[in-house]
Amino acid sequence: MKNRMIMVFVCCVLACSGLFSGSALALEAGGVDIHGFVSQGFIFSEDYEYLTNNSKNGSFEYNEIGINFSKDLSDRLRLGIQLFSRDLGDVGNNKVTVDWAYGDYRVKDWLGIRAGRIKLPLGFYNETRDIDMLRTNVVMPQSIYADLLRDTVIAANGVGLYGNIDLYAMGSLDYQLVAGSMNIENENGFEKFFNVSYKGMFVIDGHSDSEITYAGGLRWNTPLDGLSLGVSALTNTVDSPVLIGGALKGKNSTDNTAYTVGVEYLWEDLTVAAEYQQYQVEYTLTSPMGSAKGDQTTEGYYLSAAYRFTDLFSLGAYYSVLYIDKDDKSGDNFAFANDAWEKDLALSLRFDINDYTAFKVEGHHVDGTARVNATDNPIRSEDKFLYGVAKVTFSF
Amino acid sequence: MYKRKLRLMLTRLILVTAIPLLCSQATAGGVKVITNPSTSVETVDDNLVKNIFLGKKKTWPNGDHAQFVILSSGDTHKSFLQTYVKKSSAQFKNY
Repeated sequence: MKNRMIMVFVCCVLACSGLFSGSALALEAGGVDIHGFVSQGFIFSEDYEYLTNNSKNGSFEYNEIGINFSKDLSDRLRLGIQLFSRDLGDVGNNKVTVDWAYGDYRVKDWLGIRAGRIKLPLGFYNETRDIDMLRTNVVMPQSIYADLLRDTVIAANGVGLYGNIDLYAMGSLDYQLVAGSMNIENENGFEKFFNVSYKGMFVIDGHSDSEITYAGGLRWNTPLDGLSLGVSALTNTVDSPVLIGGALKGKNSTDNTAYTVGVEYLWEDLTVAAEYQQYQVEYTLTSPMGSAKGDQTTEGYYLSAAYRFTDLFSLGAYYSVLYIDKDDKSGDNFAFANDAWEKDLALSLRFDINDYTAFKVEGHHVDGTARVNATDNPIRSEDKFLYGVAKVTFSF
Repeated sequence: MYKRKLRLMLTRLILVTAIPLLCSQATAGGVKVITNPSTSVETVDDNLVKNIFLGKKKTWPNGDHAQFVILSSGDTHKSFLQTYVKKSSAQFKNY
């Protein structure tokens, strides 16, 4: 009830901003900048429930709502917080969470210090994935930016350093280092992602704990205007209570490490990006019957392009490839061979009705069921399927 | 995240003003970036402009605090953002 009241308040703020009258503007109260967004989507799919648990019939349980407040306390010190809510089928259910909240003290351009709930550098776009207006596509490439993990990997509670180092003729270098603890909530998608990853060998059976997460990112803004190269890494250990074979209680401890490299090129109205990621998991499964160890390296990459033809219309596309186990790309050891991969070809249309309203429609042709949830789809014998999304986003 | 809202008051001013280019190579959307005369910098390159407007740099090379102003809308505003910041108006306002 409390959450609903908060979101009603968010909607009232949006309405008061003039958003729905087409004269949107940011709010400022007592020197506090207030911004927000409401993004409502519709998702439909054939053959499989995908991303949500009810997409085959078409579902509106696909939204994101957020509001943030920030204030410059001085030239160097800034405070900010974002409240966020999303619905992704049976995930999220519009529970309000603190997406990020931190104090940011800028000592020099090359050195800033943050403390609080800090966004994590994980690929080029993890830190901006909450800002739908920044991209042409609706669904980000699931090979690297899995929607089920969005709330888990968006930020960590801890401290961070960041800055921009001038390399003069060689461009500049952005860096970020973060050490903190992740909030792992089953209902925010972690449980479904976990169960998909292990394809029913064991399922999560309680609350997971994360030890300190370390993350770092470098982005080289090269002398070639618009070209940047990036690398990021994240590592942590997560302990999860599990149920093995539907009856035996145990614990799964995973050491997780993700490496991502990428290139982005912006030229006039064209944006081209490609990223490659390896996500290594070493797990130890402990139960009264003994313990077992295993490891797996998931490989993902994508190539995307978007072009803004006019102020009104943009077109985007990407091809995203994921292999759950890079040493078993043909799926020899999977219950369904096509669980081993996902190859997603997406085409997106974006219409900017004004600076504060965007409408997007997107189609996907997917080969492989690596991201198809086993609980929602016990039989996954069909290797190819289609899905589509439409979404309207208001922001101020 | 740094500039969900544009700051208008300056200590050391970068004044971004649209000046239609008069030379033959100019395009309709051409813009120039100028700084307040009291600013200590002698030259401002594209990368510095981009970094200031994206919030990556808060100071001039000599350490003085830098702030900017920008037109709020219009073709010149869009052209500036596209040329220097590499973002559309909608993207910039939501960055």
